Amino acid sequence: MLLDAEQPQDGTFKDTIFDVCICGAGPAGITLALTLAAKGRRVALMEAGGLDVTTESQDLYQGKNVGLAYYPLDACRLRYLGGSSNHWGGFTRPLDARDFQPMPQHPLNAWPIPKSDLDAYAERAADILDLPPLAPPIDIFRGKEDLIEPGIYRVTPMRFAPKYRNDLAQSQLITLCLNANLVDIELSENLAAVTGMVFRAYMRDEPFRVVARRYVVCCGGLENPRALLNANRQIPAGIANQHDQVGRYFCEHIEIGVGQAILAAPLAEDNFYIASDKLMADRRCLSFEIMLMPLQQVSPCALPFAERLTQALHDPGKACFDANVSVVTCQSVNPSSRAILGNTKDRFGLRQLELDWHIADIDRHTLRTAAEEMGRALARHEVGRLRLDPWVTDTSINVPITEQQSGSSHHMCTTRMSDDPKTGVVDRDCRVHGIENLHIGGSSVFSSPGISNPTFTIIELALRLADHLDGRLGKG
Amino acid sequence: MAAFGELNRRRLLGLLTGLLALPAAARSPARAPRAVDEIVIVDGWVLLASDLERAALHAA
Repeated sequence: MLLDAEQPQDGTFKDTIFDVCICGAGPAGITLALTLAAKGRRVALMEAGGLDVTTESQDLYQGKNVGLAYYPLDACRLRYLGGSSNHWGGFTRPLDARDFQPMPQHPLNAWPIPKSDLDAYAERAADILDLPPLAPPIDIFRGKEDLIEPGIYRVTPMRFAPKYRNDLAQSQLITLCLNANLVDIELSENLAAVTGMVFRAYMRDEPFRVVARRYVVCCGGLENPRALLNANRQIPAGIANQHDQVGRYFCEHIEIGVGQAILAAPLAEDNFYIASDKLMADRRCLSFEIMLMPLQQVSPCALPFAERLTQALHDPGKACFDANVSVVTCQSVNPSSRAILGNTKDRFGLRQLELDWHIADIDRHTLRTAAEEMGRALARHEVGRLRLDPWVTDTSINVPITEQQSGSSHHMCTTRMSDDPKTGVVDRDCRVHGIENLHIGGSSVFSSPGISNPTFTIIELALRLADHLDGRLGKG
Repeated sequence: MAAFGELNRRRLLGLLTGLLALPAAARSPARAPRAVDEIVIVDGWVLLASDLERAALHAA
C-alpha cells in the first residue's frame, strides 16, 4: 500500500501495530521491508521524501562542515524514495576478509563479526542489485606484480525506486508512506524500549504516530546519528548516547588525484588496483584502491613511449600524459571524526548536523604510499611512469582535501557496530545498545569502512538484519 | 617565487647536467644492462635510473 502523509490519514497508522517500522526508504530500508514482507511480516516503511527530488525535502539535509573541507551536506545525498541510490555510480564490491580483522597498524579498524556472516547473504545481495557476472580482472601488470593487485568491481545501473516501487506499493504487508519526516522517537518509562515513532508531513501541522514491535532507523550514514541525537526529549544527550558514541568515527573513502602517468600502451578503460596484504604489512598502511583513468586527448600522443618520457623529463610543460591517477583509501576509525548537532534548527525544530571530519597521520601516509607504490609498480614492470603531485612527495604540503575533491559521498561508521558500548552504538545484531527493540540499518553501522563501495555491504547487512528481526519477532 | 613546474624543470635539468659529468663509460647505453634497474623519485617522477641516463644522453 502506498500512502502520502500530506493526505488526510485513513486510520491505518492509528489502528495498526506493525511488526516493524522502518524509517528511511533507501537501499537498506527497501531491502529490509521487502525481505520482511516475504517472511510474512507487516511493515511500515516511512520515507521522508516523495517520489522525486524536491527542494523542501532536500533542504532538510542542510548542515555545516566544521572539520575538513567537504561537499555541501545537502548535495552529497538524496532525500526521496530510493535515497542516494538515485545518484550512485553503481560500483559494488564486497568487503575484503582483512577488513574484519584488527589491523596491527590501527586496531580500531575491525568488525566484531567475521566476513562469513555477510558472505552468507552475498548471492542474494547480488540478485537484489541486479549485478552482472564477475568479469575477468583487468591487469596492466599481467599477474607479475605482488604489491598491487587488480581490484574487481561489478557495476550496476540499478536504481532502487523504479526497480522496487511497484513491489512496495502492491504488497499487502507493506505500508509505504511518503513525505513522512521522523520528528521524535518515544521511549518507554524505563527508557529501555521504543514505544512509537512520531512523523510529520511538510504541509500538515499535526504529527502522527506509528507503533510497531520493532523499529529500524535506515536514514543514511549522517541522518542515523542525527535522528538518535535529536530524540532527546526523554534523554537529553540523545538515544544510545550514554557513552558519547553517537556520531563518532565518521569515515569516508578519501578520494584524491595523485598524479598523471605516461603509459607504454594506452588504456581501454578505467583500471582499478588494490593494496596486497604484503604491501600493507611492509609499509604499515591501511588498505587502498588506486585507479588509472585514461585521459581523453584532443590530439593523441604521437611519439613512442620512451621518446615521450624523455621529452616530458626535459620539458614537463609539454608532457603528453595517458592517464590520471587517483587513490581511494580506507580511512582510519577515529573517535574525533564525528557528526554532531549544531545550533541551527530545521523547519521541524530539529537541530541541523555539523560534520567535524578529521583524518589522521596514517591516512595521509596511506594516500602517499599508495601513489608512490603505483609509481614504482609502473616503472618496475616497464608499463609506464608516474609523475606524482607535489604533496605526495613533500610532506610539508597538506593533503589537498577540498570542497570539490575530498570523499566519495560514502558516510560510514557513525553508529558503529561494536560489542562494547564504549566503542560503538549497535551490537553485532545491529541493535542499539541499551534499547531492546531499536535497530539501525545502513553504512552507519560499519565498524570499519574498508575500501569497497558500501552499497553491497549495506544490502548484505539489511538481509542479515531481516533474518534477525524475523527470528526475534517469533511466531506471534 | 618560481612556479612548481618551473622549479621542477630547473632541478631536473640540474640533475641531468650532473649526470653528463659522469665518465662516458658510466652513462653509455652500450654498457652491460643492469640486472635490476634502480627506481628513483626525482621531482615527483617515479623513474628507473636508466630513464635519467637516457634523458641525459638526449640532452647531450
